[in-house]
Amino acid sequence: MKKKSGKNKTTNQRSFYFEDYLETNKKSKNLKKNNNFEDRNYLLFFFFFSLITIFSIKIAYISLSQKEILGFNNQNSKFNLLRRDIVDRNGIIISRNINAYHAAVDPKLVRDKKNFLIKLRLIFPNLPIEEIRQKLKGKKYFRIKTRITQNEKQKLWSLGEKAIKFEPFQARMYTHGDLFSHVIGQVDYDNFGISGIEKYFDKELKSKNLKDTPLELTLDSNIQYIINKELSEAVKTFDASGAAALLMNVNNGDILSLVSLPNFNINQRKTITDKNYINKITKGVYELGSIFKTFTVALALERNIVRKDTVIENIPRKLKCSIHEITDMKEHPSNLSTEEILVRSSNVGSVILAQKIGEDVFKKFIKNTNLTKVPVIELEEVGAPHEIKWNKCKIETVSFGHGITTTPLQATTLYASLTNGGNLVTPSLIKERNKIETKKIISNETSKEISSILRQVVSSENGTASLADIDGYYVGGKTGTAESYGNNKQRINSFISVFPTKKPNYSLFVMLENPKLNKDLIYNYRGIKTKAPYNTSGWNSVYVAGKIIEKIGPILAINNKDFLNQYVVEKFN
Amino acid sequence: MFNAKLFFSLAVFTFFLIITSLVKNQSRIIEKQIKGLNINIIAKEKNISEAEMEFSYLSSPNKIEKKFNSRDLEKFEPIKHSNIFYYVDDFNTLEKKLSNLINIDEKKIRKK
Repeated sequence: MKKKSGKNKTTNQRSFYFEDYLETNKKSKNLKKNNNFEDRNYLLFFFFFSLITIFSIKIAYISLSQKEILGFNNQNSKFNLLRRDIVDRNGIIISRNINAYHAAVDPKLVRDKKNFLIKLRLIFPNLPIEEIRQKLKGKKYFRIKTRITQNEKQKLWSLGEKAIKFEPFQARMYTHGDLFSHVIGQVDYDNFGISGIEKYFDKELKSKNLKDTPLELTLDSNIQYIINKELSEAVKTFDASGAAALLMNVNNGDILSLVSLPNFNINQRKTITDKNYINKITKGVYELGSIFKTFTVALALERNIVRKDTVIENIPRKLKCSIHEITDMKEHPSNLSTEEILVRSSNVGSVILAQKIGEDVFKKFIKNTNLTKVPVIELEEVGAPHEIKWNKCKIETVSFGHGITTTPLQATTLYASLTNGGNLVTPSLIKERNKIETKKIISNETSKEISSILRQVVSSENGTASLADIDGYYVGGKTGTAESYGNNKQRINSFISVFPTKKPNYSLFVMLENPKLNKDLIYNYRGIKTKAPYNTSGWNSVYVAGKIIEKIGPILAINNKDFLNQYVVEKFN
Repeated sequence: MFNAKLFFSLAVFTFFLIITSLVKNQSRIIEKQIKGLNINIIAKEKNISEAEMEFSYLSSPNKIEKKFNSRDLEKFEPIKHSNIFYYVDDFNTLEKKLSNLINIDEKKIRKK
């Protein structure tokens, strides 16, 4: 039965299974179509979404990472300075790179060579025209003028010559010309430092990470100018062959001014062979004379060999030591206190003190204070003092500054160290340098005593530096008149001062090379108008130092309230 | 005939195409503006740098002194620090001290 009914069903009507199959087939086809449509939509959506996302990311990237996109990065920027600025302690620009040009010629592009040369001669009459004519005959590209000014570029541009090419490069400009010549140094056309700070800090100045931060120096442009001006005038007044000055903060060794004359304009590249143009402060090695007596006295006081008021009796007029005969320039009383030995600058008195100190102690002191070592400062131009041979009579001559050489920088540093409480400072030209541990060379008490004796050298009647007694600044110091080491004809008149002596803040070194006696100059010597009797540092270097202190004093006082207040309080009490 | 789904797909495609082109164009315009601004910034930076240099040069003590001297003005002398008084009382005290000293000297002279 079942079979029959089944057979009937297949012949007369579609089977259930067939219909079902058809239905499901249709459904699946529809489903597939729907799925394809959705897939396409998804794909389209995904595709455009990706594109939009990419562009959105780009926009976001542009807006967020400004530095790279805006062209401030080193590679893209057209105004990308190759060297950092150098500024003084007040942020005044000393040197900066600028875009400049060299003018060159491609001979192949010159149509009318005669006409071209005539035009060139009209614009630049000083150009070596004959040399250019020869070069024009060849085919090689050559420079006609290096580092042209904007005005010169305009003139060349106006010629309308295709052959003239302007090669861009970065030139270093020094806004103060010759004012900092011995400190800053120079760079070559490829921006490599070749001297001074430019050479010493060549890597740091080119550092891309520090590009926006200038290199800050301890120097002060205004003080440097005043000192430079006073020294230049002194060179003329005393017909000196050269001069130098150094101003140092005694507490940290910061150099506020370093002047060495003759100087030169560092904006111009010239080969200088004359030795007189060296940096006299750091490279010049001199026998500074009586300036060393302060060290002898300080050592004697520190070792408790004598006290400030200890009287050395029966000081002879002359003293024979080996083949040398040691005498004093002036006649002094035969009994002198330790203080008076320094105030009156007695050679014989210093020798007696040195003999009491002993050679070993003296040697150790010189070694500890680095007086005869190569000076440490951020400059390549440093001189090496002569090695001392401690033979017979050496301690005697060294006690008053003969037979021993050093650089003015080291002598000033030691004066600063002796008067700042006895801490040996390291001189520096860089404002924010790493702190160096200082070592004690003398006690606070000795330091105070030395400062007060130095004050006496300036203020007392018998002192040798009265012309530096500038009212209100409590100047103290020591003079030194000596012959140049190994050259008896050369004379070195120097003076190292410290001020204010009650709490020393600054140390000023002034040196004149081969000064002459100025017979026309009238001094105001302790209220009396007089002419210079001798050609000693007391009558020239001290005079110059006094003039400098008088002018820089107010600037230093403005920058230092303690000093200002101290003075005002002192004056009215 | 009218295939709604195909039409919808095309509409979506066109919509996104327009949006994408808009976004792309906008980003290009912004990029161009940025480049233009960048050039301006560089030029201005250069000008500032040169102006700073000029300022540094023209305001250097040497230049200022020359400028000052070129004017026919009264010559100024630096005043000594010791002559500066911050308060009138301080000035009066010092003056009193000085007048006392002068009086003492005068008395001594009279006695002689």
